[in-house]
Amino acid sequence: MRSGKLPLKAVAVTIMALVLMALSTASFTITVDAHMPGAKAPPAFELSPIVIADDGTEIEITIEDVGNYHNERMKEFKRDMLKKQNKTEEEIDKIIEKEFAGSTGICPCSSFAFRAALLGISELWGDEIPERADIKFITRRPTPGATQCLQYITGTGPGVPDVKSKGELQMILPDGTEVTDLSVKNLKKYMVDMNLSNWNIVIIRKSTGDEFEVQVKEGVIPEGFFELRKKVKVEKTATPEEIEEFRTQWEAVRDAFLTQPDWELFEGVEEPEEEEPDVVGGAIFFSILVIGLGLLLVLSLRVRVKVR
Amino acid sequence: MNEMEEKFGQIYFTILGAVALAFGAAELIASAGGGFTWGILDSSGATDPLFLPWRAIILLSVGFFYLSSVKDFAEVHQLAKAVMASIMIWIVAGMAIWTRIASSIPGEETWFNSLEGFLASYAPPYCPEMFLLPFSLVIVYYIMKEKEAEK
Repeated sequence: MRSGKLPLKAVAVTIMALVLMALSTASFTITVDAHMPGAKAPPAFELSPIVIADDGTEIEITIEDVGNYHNERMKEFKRDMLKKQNKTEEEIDKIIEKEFAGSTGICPCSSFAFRAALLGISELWGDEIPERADIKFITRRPTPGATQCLQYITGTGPGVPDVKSKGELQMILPDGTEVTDLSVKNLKKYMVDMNLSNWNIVIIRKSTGDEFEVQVKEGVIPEGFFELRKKVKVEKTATPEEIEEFRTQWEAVRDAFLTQPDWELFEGVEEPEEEEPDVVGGAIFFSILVIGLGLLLVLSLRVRVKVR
Repeated sequence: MNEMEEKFGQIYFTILGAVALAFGAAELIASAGGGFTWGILDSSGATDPLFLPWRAIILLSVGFFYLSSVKDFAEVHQLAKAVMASIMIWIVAGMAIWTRIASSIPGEETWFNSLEGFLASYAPPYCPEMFLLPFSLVIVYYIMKEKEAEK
């Protein structure tokens, strides 16, 4: 048996195999569109939950619920993908653990859909709590993040917890194409060329027929975002600098949907007028109060003097 | 207390009692329906919703006490009813004023409020008891008259 020296051919093959493995892992990382590996955590934000009634039971849906659901669905999709590549369960677990480490599922698409739904519901139902079955969404955005967020709210997605009644979700792309298969695999076909018109969701109150369209404003999505996305996510021809730039833009879009007010994000939403504090009214009351207390003091002192 | 003063007291506290009753009824309806704000009148119970029904009961009692005191108003027991009704208003209005004073001093994110914020915290709307407060002070005149008569 020979020991010590390894044949040059074997070393080269091993190195090649390792490089290929590393490349394939990197490409898997990029294909999961909902996640941006290396993205920073979102800043502190405060978003009220979407409150709906499901067959009379009140449900509060938070952005974290939506994020977790989206995360789980993407993990499942990834698992199926890796299974088809004949990976062992152990390998699959390792890849998923590595790729989804620290991921909250709160991405630009899921946060956009959440904000759009929140706004649409408040516009159509006001202070009322909508029944889940009365909600219908028509989405123009064929991404897993936005779709799964709306599936969670309508209860139409697989594995949504405690669903008694279902709303309706329809996907009609800006070019009029209706997409009925909302699986991640199928959605990928429609995610190649996207632009601002895809950042659009129509919310419908089925019982009255009222509808409200939410369209993202120009300027919310940074310039060059769509081209970069295509290079990074679809064509995979982006340079490391371009990937880094896309990551920064991805974070900026997500953070905008998590932190900015509706009128800065969506078309047709007017900024509420800030009420000026009524300083004059307050000053008049305060003066009366001071004079009144002064008179009370004088009166009580006079009474004391009289008593003495 | 002369006859003229007694007559004035009777008319005055009848009107005040009726107004207090109306306010009480409005607050009772408001507490059942979640409160309302109408112009400078605040029955929303925004600061303390649990106290709103109590305020309604107090106002209704004030109205009844004033109205039941007007017959033979110069008699000391009758006058005592009006005094008691006025004290009830003073307690509730005093609490409302104290709440304003206390909340006007600290700022939202600073130790002390700005002058603008300080004055704005005294701005309308006001609870019904605060509107009744100055009118209820008339009873002080009758107390003093009663005291003079005792001497």
